[in-house]
Amino acid sequence: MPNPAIVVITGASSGIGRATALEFAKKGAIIFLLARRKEALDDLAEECIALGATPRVFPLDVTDEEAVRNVAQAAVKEFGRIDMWVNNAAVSLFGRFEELPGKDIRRLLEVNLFGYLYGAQAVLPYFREQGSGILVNVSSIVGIVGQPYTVPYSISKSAIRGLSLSLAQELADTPHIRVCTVYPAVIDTPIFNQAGNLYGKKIQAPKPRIKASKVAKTIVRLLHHPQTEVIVGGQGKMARTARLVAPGIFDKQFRKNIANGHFSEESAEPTLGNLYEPKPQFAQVSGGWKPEDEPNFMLPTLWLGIGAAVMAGLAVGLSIGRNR
Amino acid sequence: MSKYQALDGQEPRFVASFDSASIMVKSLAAFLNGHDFSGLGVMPNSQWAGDSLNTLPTSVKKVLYSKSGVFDAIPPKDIGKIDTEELAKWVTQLFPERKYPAVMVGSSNGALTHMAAALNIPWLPQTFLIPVQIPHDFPVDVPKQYMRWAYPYGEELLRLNPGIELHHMTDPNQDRLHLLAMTYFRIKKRRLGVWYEYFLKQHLEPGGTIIVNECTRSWPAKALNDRHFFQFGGTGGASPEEYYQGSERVSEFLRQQQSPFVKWDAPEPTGEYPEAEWGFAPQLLDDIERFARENGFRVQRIQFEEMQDISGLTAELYRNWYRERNMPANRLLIESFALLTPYWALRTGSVPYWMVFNTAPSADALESYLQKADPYDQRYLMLLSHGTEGIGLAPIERWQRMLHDGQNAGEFVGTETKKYPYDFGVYARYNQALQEAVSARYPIATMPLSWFESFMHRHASNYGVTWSDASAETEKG
Repeated sequence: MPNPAIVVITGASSGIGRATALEFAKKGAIIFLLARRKEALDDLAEECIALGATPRVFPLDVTDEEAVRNVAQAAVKEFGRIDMWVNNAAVSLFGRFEELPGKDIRRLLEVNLFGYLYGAQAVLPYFREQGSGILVNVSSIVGIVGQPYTVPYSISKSAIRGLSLSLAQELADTPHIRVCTVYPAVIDTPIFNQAGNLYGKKIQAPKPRIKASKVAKTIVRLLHHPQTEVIVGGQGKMARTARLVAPGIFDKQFRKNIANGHFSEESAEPTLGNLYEPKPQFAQVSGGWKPEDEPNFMLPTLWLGIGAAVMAGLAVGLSIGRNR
Repeated sequence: MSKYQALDGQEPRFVASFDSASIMVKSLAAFLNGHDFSGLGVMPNSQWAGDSLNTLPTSVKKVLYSKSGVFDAIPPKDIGKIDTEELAKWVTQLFPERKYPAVMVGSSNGALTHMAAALNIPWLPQTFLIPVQIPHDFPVDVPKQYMRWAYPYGEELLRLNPGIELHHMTDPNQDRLHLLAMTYFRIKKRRLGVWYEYFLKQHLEPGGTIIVNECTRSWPAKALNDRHFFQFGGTGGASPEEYYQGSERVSEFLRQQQSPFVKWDAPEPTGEYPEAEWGFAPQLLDDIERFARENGFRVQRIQFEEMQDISGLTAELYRNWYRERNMPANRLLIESFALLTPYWALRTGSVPYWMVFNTAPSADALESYLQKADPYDQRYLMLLSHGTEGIGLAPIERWQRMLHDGQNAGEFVGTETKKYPYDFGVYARYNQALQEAVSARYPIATMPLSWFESFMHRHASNYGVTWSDASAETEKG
């Protein structure tokens, strides 16, 4: 991988995208920053320059296929190649599935899924020419285990997993072109502050929350050590295992956990958040959810319950095995 | 007896592994089976092997090269054991057993090999080389002696194999090293024969297309009877007149080779006949048309005179096809003779331009194509070395100039330029070297036959190539 690395990041104005840009900036990378908010990107570009990086700012909506394609073209024109493309831009919409308007679901999928497809289609021709390149698709642990009250978001994250796995299989004969999927658990980002909310109660980030910089460091590591799938956060790893081993218990408990943990008691007016238009505020990495002293890994009752169920399951399984 | 048979897909003993047709058909078959074909099928595929080979002194390399074909050459006493249909059987066994919308049959040609690869269809060659061992101490510059000596063996071969014609050829200009040990029997099928017919019936889709490759290139030769020809010289750097009548270049060449002659004393030609290696014997077309009529297949003809006429057309075919698939189509892979790689041309998204040899006429044709075509940003050249500084050989400086024309940077692939034309290491290196030189990797996609036909219909004539429907002509006629 040449130095400096040439990286494109969508959804760079806040959260994981912004953290990733700053993390790459520390390595002196050439970073193409994509998001809807120009001012937010300009501020970020300044921060990147201060860290020793070379940023390029492209204010755009990832649903604009041509604009996304132009970025890939511009990057190759100026620097000759693209080493990594990070598909990250996402919006969220909370609410009971039956009550969500179809057009808003469609818009979410356009951003969260079609934005990724356009990114992948824009960069792959250049990866093919180079014979190498890393496409990172930021999904979510909910893309693996599901999540109630954010069905469109979960659909988009599952679809991203499908995109990644299927595309990786299609590209298996080009070993230096890699598709990596990152599954963060609950990350302290402004996505919860800006999400559309038709649930009727105020959204909060359930515990334990992880700093976005942890995801960013994982993505930077993929540049030299690409992995097909990476779950960020112990909670996420545990959720995947629990869903595999005890799906019934997990689903029941997870619903309760989300209903209680993701919403406060306070009621909230319906909002579509930044689904259609970006919000001028929240151009930052953190959403202010994680107190400094909060550990990254906690074992709330849900996990203890599931853990017990798993142990019980294993014990029963073993005893059946022995008695056969 | 079994070594002369194509048992269990094995190559019959008399297939010349260094022959253009056998290398092309093997590399196409490898492609259709999903993989590449390297080292001409006989060499290890590595930089190291190529380097080791090239460290040998030129004299040793010459001996090795001249002896390399000996294993393929058959003793003349075994001529009676040869059933040329075993060659057809062997070829048909190379291709994957599936249904194809079209199958090519006819002249050998590197560019047509690429066309077949793009269409993902087999090609059944008309011409095969059977190298025959000669007695020691044959003077390479006395073609008459080769002709006289080989005549009874040729007649025996023709008697036993009624479906073929024989073009016995010697070329002391270009095949000098091999001529020390063998002479070339090139056989051309006049009939499809049982194996090709069986293959077509089994593997051509109902109503499928037989594409007939017809290179109309002829060469003066002596007809010994209506099926037996002796051709002196061959397509390359020298003209037929130079071979038959001599020239300053010929005298100079012979002097350099320390030959006691100033010109060759070749048998007087009785006419022009299909060129032994590349030309198409038209009797096969009649048989294909008969077969197609009986079995409900279509026949499409590709006719061209010069072997490289089809190269520019094929390059443009690839270019258009790549552009259609949103690929850059700006990389040219120039190949020569048997140094060709349908698999890696497609995987690296390179536009192939195939040259017959490493001689001035080949370079001229390439140059004229480059002048006509949209510029290529990258040029790569896999350059043939055949161990003879023959008449018309294009010097390395010319190839260098063509690669670096001021605007474009080019690169030799696996070639050690200082060793040319004794760079035998290139055969071991080219396949790996290309993969290292070009990092691009594309998926293999099959060109639809309808797209191909429409392209040929629109563009073939611009390159001096005729694309026509044989059945329509028959109806008209």
